[in-house]
Amino acid sequence: MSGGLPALTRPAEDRTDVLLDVNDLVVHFPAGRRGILGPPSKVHAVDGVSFRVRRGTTFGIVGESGSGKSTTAQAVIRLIPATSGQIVFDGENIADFRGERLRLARSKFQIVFQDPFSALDPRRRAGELIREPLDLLNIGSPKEREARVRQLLEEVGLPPQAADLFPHQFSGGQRQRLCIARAMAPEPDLIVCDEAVSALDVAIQAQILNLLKKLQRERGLTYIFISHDLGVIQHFCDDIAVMYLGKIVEQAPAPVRAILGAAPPL
Amino acid sequence: MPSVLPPVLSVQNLSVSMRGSNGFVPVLENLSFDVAEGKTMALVGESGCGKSMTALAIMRLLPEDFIVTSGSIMLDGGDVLAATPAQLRGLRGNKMSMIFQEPMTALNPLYTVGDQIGEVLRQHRKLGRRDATEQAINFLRAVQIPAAEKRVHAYPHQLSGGMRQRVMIAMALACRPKLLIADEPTTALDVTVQAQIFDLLSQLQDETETSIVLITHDLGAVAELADDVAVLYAGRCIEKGTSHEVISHARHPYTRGLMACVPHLQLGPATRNTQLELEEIPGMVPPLGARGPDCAFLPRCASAGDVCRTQPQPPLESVEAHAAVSCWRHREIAP
Repeated sequence: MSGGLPALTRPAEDRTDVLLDVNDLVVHFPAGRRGILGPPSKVHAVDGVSFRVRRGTTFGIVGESGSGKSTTAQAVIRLIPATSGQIVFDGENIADFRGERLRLARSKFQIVFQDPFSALDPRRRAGELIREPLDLLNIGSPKEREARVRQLLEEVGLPPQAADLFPHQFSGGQRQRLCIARAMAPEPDLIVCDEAVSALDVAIQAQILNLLKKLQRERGLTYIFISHDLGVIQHFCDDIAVMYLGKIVEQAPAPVRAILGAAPPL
Repeated sequence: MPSVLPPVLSVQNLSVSMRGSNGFVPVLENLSFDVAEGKTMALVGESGCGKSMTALAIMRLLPEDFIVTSGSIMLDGGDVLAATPAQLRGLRGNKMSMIFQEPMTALNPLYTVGDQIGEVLRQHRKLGRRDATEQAINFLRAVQIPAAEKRVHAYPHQLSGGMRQRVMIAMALACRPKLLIADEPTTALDVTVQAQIFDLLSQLQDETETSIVLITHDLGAVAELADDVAVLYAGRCIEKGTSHEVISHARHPYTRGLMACVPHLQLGPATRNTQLELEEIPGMVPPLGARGPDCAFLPRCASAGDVCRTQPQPPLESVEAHAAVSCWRHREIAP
């Protein structure tokens, strides 16, 4: 696939253990002015965050709402403009990528959003939704794309007939499976799961977590997994970072010991 | 359940059906439970199990085409199902009130939160506008909102999710209702705020002796807050008992599955088994209309035997004084 994509061809010695290396990432949002003539003020959403994600592992980011975990993840995959900092993905600083180069590089990093109800276009069939990244990135011939859609549906545990249904005909857990299939379509190396299981029932949550684990084993996928649920994070992640007010306040291999008092014990 | 006082809420053999194109489809079947004064009853189950429908039936807020086909709902000695619309208006917000799941959509964006809390008091307590605002400030203080005098004039969009949920609680408790129904009050909030909301609810319950019906799919919340639990599956109550009994000795395979599929936080040094597969309950809740007389959990049950396939679902069977379960094989599969 990396055939005519200069962005993705790299010398073999660059393939190190680290897939993603984020250095001093800063994201500020403008927040109006103090007074009519006052200086423009900024919200420091992410304030100098650095971390490394090893290939084939899961990096968990945990924190309260408003701590900047989603902003970090979305800035890393260039959905939110970063104010400064380096994002080295597979040996290249994607923070500098622009236009077509960035668009094509996106085949290597995908995202699964929290709410599967609003992340799928209600007017398009499931098959089209999963095919869209393949169409946009021009991967394979139309016939191969059809076959790939069927294969993806099977991998996420949905019957092939599901391709002809509309999103409203699926349950919440099935819709999240569709979102995962769509994210996997261009064979990415990195998938960002932004609270991907928070909106689901406990029983469905376990199914989706096991599916993500299975896909990781089979494909060597790398995840950035965002959640506010420490139990889920501990179960699922190899490394964990705790964010608070835009900064990483603690980072360690699982398990961590922070905010623990807040989770109701069972 | 033996208790000295008559229960505040008594639901007996409640069945709710949906009017479909091919006749009536059962949504809730034969649900019975009592809530005593100052106690908390939790209704647990996945989406589509009928938890919210139970709440809406108690409030008489069932959507169009959903009707109560049998059973009774007694609130503080009065029959809710026989109440006229005028009587219902007197009950809702006054004797019983509800906290909805989504604090974003349950508040009116065009009125200040003070107006919305005060509305209940003006309606039921006939307070004037000024008195109502003053009371609203007191309630905002009671639910621990800082700078209550200022926040009373704030609009919902100016508050965070946790604060909006506190406003909902203040509104629900404004008339000191006998019964508070909390429909997944913390699902939309993050853990630290969840813990605060639960603390707040139990503290307010101690002060006002309100009975709470807590609807949740989070068994952690049940352990924290509830006295009694009813586990619902596909519109039927499959296990019932004190929360201690149900959580420490879950008898129904569904209840056990629900508990096993929550990843628990383990403290102490890292162990490798944290990375193992989570237990999961395969499949999903059967949709409305696809529920036969046999055990609704049968297709997903790992311990199903011949007796489960040939017999209809058993009625709730009292196992001990404080526990009842609806399962043919609960004795054989007990750990």
